[in-house]
Amino acid sequence: MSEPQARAGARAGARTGAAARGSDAAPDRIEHPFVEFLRMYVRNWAATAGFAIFSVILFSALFAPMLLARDPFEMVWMPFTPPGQDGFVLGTDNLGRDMLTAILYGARATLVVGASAATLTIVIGITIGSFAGYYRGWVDEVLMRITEFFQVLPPLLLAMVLVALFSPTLPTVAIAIGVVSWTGVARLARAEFMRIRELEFVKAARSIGSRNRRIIWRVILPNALPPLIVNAALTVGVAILFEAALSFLGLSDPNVMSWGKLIGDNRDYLLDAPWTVTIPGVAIFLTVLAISLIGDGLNDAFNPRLRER
Amino acid sequence: MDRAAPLLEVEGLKVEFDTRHGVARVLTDIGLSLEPGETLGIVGESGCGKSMTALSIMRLVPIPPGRIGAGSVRLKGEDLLQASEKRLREVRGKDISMIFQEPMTSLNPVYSIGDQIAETARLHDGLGRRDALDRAVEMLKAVHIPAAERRVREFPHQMSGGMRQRVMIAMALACRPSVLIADEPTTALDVTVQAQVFDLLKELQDRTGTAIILISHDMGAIAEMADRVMVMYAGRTVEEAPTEEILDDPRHPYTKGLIACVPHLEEAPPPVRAALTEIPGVVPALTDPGAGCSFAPRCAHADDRCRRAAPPPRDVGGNHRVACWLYEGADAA
Repeated sequence: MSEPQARAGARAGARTGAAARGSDAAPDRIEHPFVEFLRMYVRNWAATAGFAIFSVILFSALFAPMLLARDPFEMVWMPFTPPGQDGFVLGTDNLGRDMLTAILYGARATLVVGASAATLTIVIGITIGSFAGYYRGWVDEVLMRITEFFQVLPPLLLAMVLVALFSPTLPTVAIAIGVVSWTGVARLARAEFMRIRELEFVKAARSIGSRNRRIIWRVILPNALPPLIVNAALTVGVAILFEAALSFLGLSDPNVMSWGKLIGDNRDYLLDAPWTVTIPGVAIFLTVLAISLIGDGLNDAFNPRLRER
Repeated sequence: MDRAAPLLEVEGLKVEFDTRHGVARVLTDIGLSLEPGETLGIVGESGCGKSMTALSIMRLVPIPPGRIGAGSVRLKGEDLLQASEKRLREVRGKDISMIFQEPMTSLNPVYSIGDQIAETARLHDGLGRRDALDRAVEMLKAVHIPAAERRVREFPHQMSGGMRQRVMIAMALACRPSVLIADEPTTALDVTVQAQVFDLLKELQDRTGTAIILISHDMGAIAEMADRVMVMYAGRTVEEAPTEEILDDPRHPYTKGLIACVPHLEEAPPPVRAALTEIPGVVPALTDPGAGCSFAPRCAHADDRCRRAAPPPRDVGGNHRVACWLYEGADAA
């Protein structure tokens, strides 16, 4: 709306009086923020496709026991049966285990590790970043030096050391990934807190007697969340790649089937039985791609500047 | 004048900020007092310390880089500058509230306005969620927002600037504070809405007996609202008097300049319109105030003494105090 129009509107509003002005604003036309968000998200077809792919993966992981009630470690047929032969849709691997079952059950470990590592990343990152950005001064100095210390460590190496030091179980893997990847979230949260803490509604919250704890978690954090949610979504993808890398190197739980473990187990037979490596590889690729598309879609939907109305 | 301890009394308040260019003396020897139900206007140009005075009273000055160097802020006899942080949180919102200049940014965009008004009541009166929301509806009605029961669930972006400022007022008054500090409450609003907000403030003041400190650079707004006016320049009080007195008989050259800056439509004869006056120069840097009167570089009456020493405030009769060498000896007369 141009300025003269706005002025004319204000004048008209003043004439019609207080009672009429209430209905002038016509709140019915204004969407609920969540509805608007959904509309913006769905408009991005790539993001919608990403969501669809991810839903399929999540569904098959969740309902794997109902879809195929088999032990993924069980040797069921000749090793290296090519896909489609003898009724094995995705073939068998070096030990004669069914690839389809392994992929389905492997999705569970992969997604669980990905999600819990991302959650840990977000929790550590937001906690450190928000305190640093809110309190500034020496708190900021100390926390940022700690962050930088973690930033300069080679992440894969540190994760390998952590897993090797403790037991190679899924929780250890998730914690190791979380510990090496929270720094980006911390810096992002810090920047958002530094920006938002200067806004007037934070001053207003303090002026009605809110304490720091409340201002950090209830006043500033909800406003800082959109970029952090986007970051969290992308972190899930990174965590899945990390888990794949660790289990490829044999540093994951040997008793739990995962995609990375499949690739690791079969890497010596890449030329003889390429499907044993490429199929889990494609599964990882599709999952990370879907998550990236979702993250991208969230970013567009949250960012009002990218919206065309 | 003989009187009991005032509701709010500020004495010798001194606030400094550490900056890259040295120590900025943001407030020097500020004093004010406020009675229940009274409205005190604080006027001055940008950067003269109006908002800082308000923030100091609530002890919301960012420390560091800020520092409250000296003085006292006594609310009903209790010195807030010595109070604990916990006690201050009780005072903020309950005894002293504040409304801000920018209604567009002073409400949190992620909460409904009802939640935000209710928050004050939940913090101070220990109300539960439902009771606090009822209070919010009640407050929205008090600030004349139509369809309060429905509006209470709406978000700030669904409201106009004037509406949001009403919501801010409702939030500030939800616990019936005895002092309301309004920091340029209408600067961001257009003129018709400004008048409505002032009417609302007056009405609520009549009903609740809240004392108001109104901060503005608009002499017109002050003239309409305030009982007494305090004129600030470069972190000092240069003149203080009842509103009519200061409008009819401004003493300090700066006050005269401020009043002359207000355009008078009715006084302009159509063919020869007098040019709008302005005060030459700008507010001096607070880091290097020099020894003399801080207004001297912009003052037409300045002489050598003005540049040498700062004038102390003196009483010129009729509750009128002015800090200017022009009136030296006036208190003897």
